[in-house]
Amino acid sequence: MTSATTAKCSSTAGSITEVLLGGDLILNLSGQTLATGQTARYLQPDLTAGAPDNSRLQITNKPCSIAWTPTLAACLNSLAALDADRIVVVAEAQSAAGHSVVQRLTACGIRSLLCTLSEDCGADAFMDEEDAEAVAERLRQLGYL
Amino acid sequence: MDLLLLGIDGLPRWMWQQLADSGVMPHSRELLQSGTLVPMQSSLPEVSSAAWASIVTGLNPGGHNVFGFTDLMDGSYSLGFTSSRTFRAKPFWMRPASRPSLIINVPQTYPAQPFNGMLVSGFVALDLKRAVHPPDQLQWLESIDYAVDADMSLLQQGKPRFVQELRRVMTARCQALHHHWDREPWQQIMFVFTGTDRLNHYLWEDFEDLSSPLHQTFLDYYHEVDRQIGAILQRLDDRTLLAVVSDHGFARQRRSINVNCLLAEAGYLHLKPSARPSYSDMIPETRAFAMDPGRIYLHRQGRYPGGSVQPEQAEELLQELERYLLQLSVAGCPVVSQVLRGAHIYSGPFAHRVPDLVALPATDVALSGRMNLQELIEPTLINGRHTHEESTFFVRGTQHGVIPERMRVEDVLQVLQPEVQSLRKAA
Repeated sequence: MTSATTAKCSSTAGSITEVLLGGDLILNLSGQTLATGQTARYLQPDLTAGAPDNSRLQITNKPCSIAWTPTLAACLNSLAALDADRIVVVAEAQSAAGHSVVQRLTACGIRSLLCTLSEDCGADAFMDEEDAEAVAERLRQLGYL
Repeated sequence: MDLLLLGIDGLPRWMWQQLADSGVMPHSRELLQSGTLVPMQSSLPEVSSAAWASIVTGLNPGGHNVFGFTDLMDGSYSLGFTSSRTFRAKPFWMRPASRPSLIINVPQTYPAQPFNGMLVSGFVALDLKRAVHPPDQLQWLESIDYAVDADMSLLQQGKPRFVQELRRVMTARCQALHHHWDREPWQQIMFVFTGTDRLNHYLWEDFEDLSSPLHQTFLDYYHEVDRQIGAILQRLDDRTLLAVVSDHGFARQRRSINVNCLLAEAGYLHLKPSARPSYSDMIPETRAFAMDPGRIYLHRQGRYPGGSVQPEQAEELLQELERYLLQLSVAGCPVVSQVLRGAHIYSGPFAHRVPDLVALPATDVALSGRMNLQELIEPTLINGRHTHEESTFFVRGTQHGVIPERMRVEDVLQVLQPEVQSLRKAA
């Protein structure tokens, strides 16, 4: 990880793989379970290091979310030594934690992507199902369908 | 009253000026002398649902989540029709500080949502009962035969009968506007003429052809719109900020081309056999597909259940598609004039839902994204199409915010309510 660029994007917990690349490490601060598949690699606190303040991070293949604490900020520079192309920081859209983490990663020279999570846009966001045919007909009349 | 925002769906800036100058729209002529008229860029794509959503929220589709009249539900191939619930940003009349507002016939507001004021939904409203807030106003609207939309089937009886229907619907809407205007001291009123869009779609050829027997019918309809504008102006005092906007421009349409046919021919789109083809018939070999009018989506792994395009393949595929779309021609004529990257043109919390590419049509062409791939050039009575350029923005007087050099639909609120918008952005 030599290029300290930071990019931003948004996604949902269910479709996050659309933004993930092969060499990514995920730092999930969102509290949500991400549908990432089996090959994704996450960062989690290293609880075996005898560090009660969770001040080290390690790689795991098990999906996890971690609560960000200021003490973890101190260990971000050690991530540069890990085998990763990029750190993907996943956070809620309204959370400030994601922004401060990517700022620190950039300062440490670590390439990162800040991915903020939005709500899904499911069936309840659209016209009621019983109206679908009538709406479709209206749209056909104006050349939309 | 602080604000009257008048919408004229599909009215090109240049045409309004032309009809005003020629005497077809005399009230407009007088009005245009009292303020600033500029061309405005529509939303991307140039579709009414997205454009009106941008006008009333001050955001691009990445901020309000309306990219067209249709969209796929997240993580599925289910086609959904966008509604007032698809809006994930508050229109100006629903903001916390808003005092009572009267909102009539604004597209994309169905079903009506509760707020501090009265609303009658516009296109694609189906049932008046669900189009009115508060519901106790329904009975009066029914008593005047208020129609949520014109009966488009009347086109089968000929264009004159269709225009007659458009007039009937406009008359009832204007009657509703004045009736409810009288009822309360509204702080804001927004009213949209939508018959103009329908007229332009079906009678554009008659507007352009001065020898057409329906040329005068076209002009007469705009004359009637102008008469209604005059009646509205008569009621306004100088303290009310008055603005007139349209959601997109208009131009001639000679052919409607199904982008999905082209993508299938070129091997980007693959469907399994089906009597009624739909997005759920896409197989994993599909790399890209289109939705109306020119939204192109990569069939991304993670975003769609059978998506196969990996993130690291996306850039190369996008470049390939850009080249492909720009060199396309049908019957010797270009199909696409410009291809834009979704990641470059949208911003906001729904940027992950944006189309990967937006194709703008070439001259005389309308783009569609049907999944029925039988006809590349689709038979249609429609002869006028939307344009991204030359929608209308007019504001009366000088007490307004700065009008950007390249005015866009999402800039409307910033010009009309600069203080409110600035506070909102800061928050």
